[in-house]
Amino acid sequence: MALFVVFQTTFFLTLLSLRTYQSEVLAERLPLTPVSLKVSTNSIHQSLHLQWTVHNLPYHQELKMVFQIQISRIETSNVVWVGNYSTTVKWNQVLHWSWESELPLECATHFVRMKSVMDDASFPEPNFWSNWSSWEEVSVQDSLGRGILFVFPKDKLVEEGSNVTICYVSRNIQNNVSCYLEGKQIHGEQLDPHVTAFNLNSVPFIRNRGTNIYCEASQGNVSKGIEGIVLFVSKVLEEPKDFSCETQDFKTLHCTWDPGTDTALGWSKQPSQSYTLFESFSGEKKLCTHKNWCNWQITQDSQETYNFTLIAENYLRKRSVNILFNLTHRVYLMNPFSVNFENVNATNAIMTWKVHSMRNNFTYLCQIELHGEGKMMQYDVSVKVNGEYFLSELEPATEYMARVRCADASHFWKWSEWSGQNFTTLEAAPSEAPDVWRSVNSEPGNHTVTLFWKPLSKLHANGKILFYNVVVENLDKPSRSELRSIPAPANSTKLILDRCSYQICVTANNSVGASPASIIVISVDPENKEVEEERIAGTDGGFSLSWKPQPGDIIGYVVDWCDHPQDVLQWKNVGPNTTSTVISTDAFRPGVRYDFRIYGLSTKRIACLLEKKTGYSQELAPSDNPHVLVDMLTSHSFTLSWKDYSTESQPGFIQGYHVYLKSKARQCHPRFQKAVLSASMLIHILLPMVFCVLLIMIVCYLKSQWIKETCYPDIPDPYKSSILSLIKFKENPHLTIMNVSDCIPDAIEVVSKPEGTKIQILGTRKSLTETELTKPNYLYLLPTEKNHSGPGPCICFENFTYNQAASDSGFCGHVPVSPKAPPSMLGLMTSPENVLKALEKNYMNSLGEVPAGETSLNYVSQLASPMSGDKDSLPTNPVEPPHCSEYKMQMAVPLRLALPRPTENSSLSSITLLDPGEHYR
Amino acid sequence: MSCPLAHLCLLTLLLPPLSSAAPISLAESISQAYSLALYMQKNTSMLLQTYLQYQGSPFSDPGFSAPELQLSSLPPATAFFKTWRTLDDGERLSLAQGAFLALTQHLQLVRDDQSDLNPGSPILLAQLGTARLRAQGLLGNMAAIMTALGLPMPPEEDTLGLVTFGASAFERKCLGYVVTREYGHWTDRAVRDLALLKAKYPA
Repeated sequence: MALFVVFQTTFFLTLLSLRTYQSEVLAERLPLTPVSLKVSTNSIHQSLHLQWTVHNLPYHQELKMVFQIQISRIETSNVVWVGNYSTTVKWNQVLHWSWESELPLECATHFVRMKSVMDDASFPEPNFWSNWSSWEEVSVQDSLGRGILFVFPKDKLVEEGSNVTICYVSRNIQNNVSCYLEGKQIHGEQLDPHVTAFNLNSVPFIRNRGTNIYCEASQGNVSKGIEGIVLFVSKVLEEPKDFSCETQDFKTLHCTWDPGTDTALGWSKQPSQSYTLFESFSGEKKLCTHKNWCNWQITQDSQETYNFTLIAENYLRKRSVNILFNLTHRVYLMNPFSVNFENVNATNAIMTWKVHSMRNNFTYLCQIELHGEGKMMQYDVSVKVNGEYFLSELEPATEYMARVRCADASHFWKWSEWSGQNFTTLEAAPSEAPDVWRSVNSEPGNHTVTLFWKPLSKLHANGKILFYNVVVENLDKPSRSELRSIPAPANSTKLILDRCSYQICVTANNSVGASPASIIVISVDPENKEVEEERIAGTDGGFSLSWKPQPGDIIGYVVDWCDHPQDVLQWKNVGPNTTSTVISTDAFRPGVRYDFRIYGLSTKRIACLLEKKTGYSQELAPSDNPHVLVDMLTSHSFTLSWKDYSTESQPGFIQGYHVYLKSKARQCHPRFQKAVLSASMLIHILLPMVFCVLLIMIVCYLKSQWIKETCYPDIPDPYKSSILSLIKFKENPHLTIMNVSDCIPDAIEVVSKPEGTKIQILGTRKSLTETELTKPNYLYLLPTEKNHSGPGPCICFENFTYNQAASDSGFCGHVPVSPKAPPSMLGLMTSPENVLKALEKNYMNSLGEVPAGETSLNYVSQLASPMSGDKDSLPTNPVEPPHCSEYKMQMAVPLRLALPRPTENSSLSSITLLDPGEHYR
Repeated sequence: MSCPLAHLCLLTLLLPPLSSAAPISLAESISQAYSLALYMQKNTSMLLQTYLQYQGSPFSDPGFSAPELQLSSLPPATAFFKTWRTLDDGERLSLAQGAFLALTQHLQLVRDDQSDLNPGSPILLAQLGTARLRAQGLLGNMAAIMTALGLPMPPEEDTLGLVTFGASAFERKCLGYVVTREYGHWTDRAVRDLALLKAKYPA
């Protein structure tokens, strides 16, 4: 037992001593201090490169160790970075480690030291840090060479938005150094008297040629030198967008993407980003030569699924996108071929095409587009290899374009390109009867019927119309129908028919056949009905016509008219239940009279004239003056005669004529009187001596004192004297009598005055536009007086039909008196004040509103003395004549009420009786 | 480029030994060289401005000038007048020849640099190429004069051997500036050199 105890004690002691020995050995080996630390610099990467070894490592043993590294700048106490580096270390291994400096290494001395610790599971705790290695100093300033100023880092490549530190080293601290980024001064932090650093945060991309940063050393204003760097700022590499792959033939996969911004930089600092395709199932990789597409060869027929990674890469960054797909789901078919059309007729065609076969048992979805007549139809059809589609409901004689595209029906990826072809359908017989109308000229014994028709629209012609067939059939007696074939594009034909009823059928014919017939019947007496013509007013937009509904069986109405100046018959068909229409066409011209005829069409196709309308789209003033002849000149009267305007030459409805009569012998008020005479009557201006002279005498007698003061002042002043005497005479509407005994007329001036149609029949009308001033047409009866231009006494007749404040050219006025004015009012007007007022007013009017187109005919009395102030030579006259008499509306007859429309070439005349005994002073 | 005369000079002077069966006289040689130098003088400032415009700030700043920037591989054109005037014809021509020889090489270097930095600037690259061609033409002209005067030809030196290829982008921009600037100065000086000769050897 004692032996056992001794043995046990010895064992424990031995174990203890062994343990103690092992501890001692480890204590010797644990401080595995890094030795042989060497530090080098890489200016391009601004990095410190460390290499060292660890002594005392067990032979052929790998141990995991941790190295703590300290880096100081400028001085050892200024530690700028501390970090651990873990690695496994072998016996006699040289270890490497790099550190990138934010501050360019050239601008500051760096110091490096490290210590280590065992971090291996084979060595139990506790582990102790070794001692620090000695500081290793790194300075590249000494190698800068000669120069007074240096800027770093040179040609650095950074990404847009990153932070960059730049610095300069100035050899001479006397120099003042300013630094600029693209011309803008930047401010930095002085690291030591020679070195200043600048932190540029989030540098922008300016251009791919780099950003200039330069510093200028100067003393006072003297530049000692500039030095700079180019900072190459790259755009941030973008992830490729829209990455997809597809195949057209199961041999090649065509992959495309949107590369985004090109990050290439100048001076070969960074090329454009590269693109690489990597397929994970096959493990194959391909560097793409184009920046936005790449072709991938399909080598294994068995591979159905592909997992592609597209990697974009530049010097600074790598981006990738991934797609996983089944090959059969990415089939982009080649466009169909052999597109043809079979069995093309007027309305149908069969379209055929072929699809590039991909694999067996593929079904394709094809889409057909049919373009024609401005419309587009779309059809979808499922096919195998040969496609066929029946195109129906086509228009005859029409060019169509049909195109087709296809896609894989089972897994639609995308449509192929289109393949198309044009084709034209065949003609068909015209589908509609031509629109036919006629004009009939009845002559003794026969009618001349002119047939007109409108060309069929393309929709109804169904091809090219070659000719029109006109079949004339006598309805009154059995006879053979007469057929006339008129080649297109004629649109009318003339027939001479005897006085029988005829049915006329017109068909349009193309190469296939004839259209339905258009039938009209010419009765025995087609245009015998006397129909009164109604005046209508048009507008710029056209004419609004309405008519009375026709009793009986009417299948429709036709309105026809002639276009001017082409004189082409136009017509418009109106339905049987319509009794009004608007005829509007751009062909209507102002100043042209249009005659409209409205026909009713009976069930027997006989046209019956119902109404006639005539009007202007816009009336214009007459452009020509009436040609006036003066006849039957006596000492008391003369006759004026002129021809009425022909209907065609009337640019507006002629409402009447103004006859202006004025004396030029005396200096009187610059006014004259005028008579507006009905256009459509024989105007016979006859002076009913008894009535007029009596009236003047009464008036003059009653006002003799006033007349004397007014008309014969002691010092005659013609501008102050004015007397008006208004005579209203309308007993004989065919006769206009004007007393001009107070005037010594010089000339008669006939004025054709546009009065403007004031038709109230069809509602509103547009007022007359400004008409051009027509030069007055003077008839000088006494040629010797021709050149007299002074104002003269005048007589003015005005047609009371119009209450228009128009006057003649400037120096004449008139008194506006309403024709409906009561006699008392007329009486008032004769009072000097009123007359003067009226004269003044109208004188102003005449100055301000000179009506255009007036013609004046001045009459110069042959008997009256032209001398003014010849008071003594006045013939016996009970009443001293007024200085100036103005006769208003001596004769005025409402035009339309009084007389029927004048026939063409009707001669108009006016007789004026002159009293030689009455003249002006 | 628009002067047909200059084209003619360039063509004739680039190939002097082959083209001239009958040797041209000294006065003609001087006159030709003078005409070319005058023509070159008209375009030197445009070359400098075009070059600076492409380099960014501070080069492209209005009124940019850095006379302190010099190249050891390129002799400066400026000289004291008295020194220059007292040179004999041989020395004067020899100095100009050396300068234009260096300039042709430097212009080639600048053009290479710029085609790398500014590939999208055909105008600048064309102007640099033209300037180099004209400098070569003037060299040929001056060689003809020296031959006619019986002067020894200076040895051809590879001046660019002194240029470091590891220059930074900014340094290369500076180099291009100095080269285009000195090209102008040397052209001005060549006009004066040849004017002196022209007066001395009238036609």
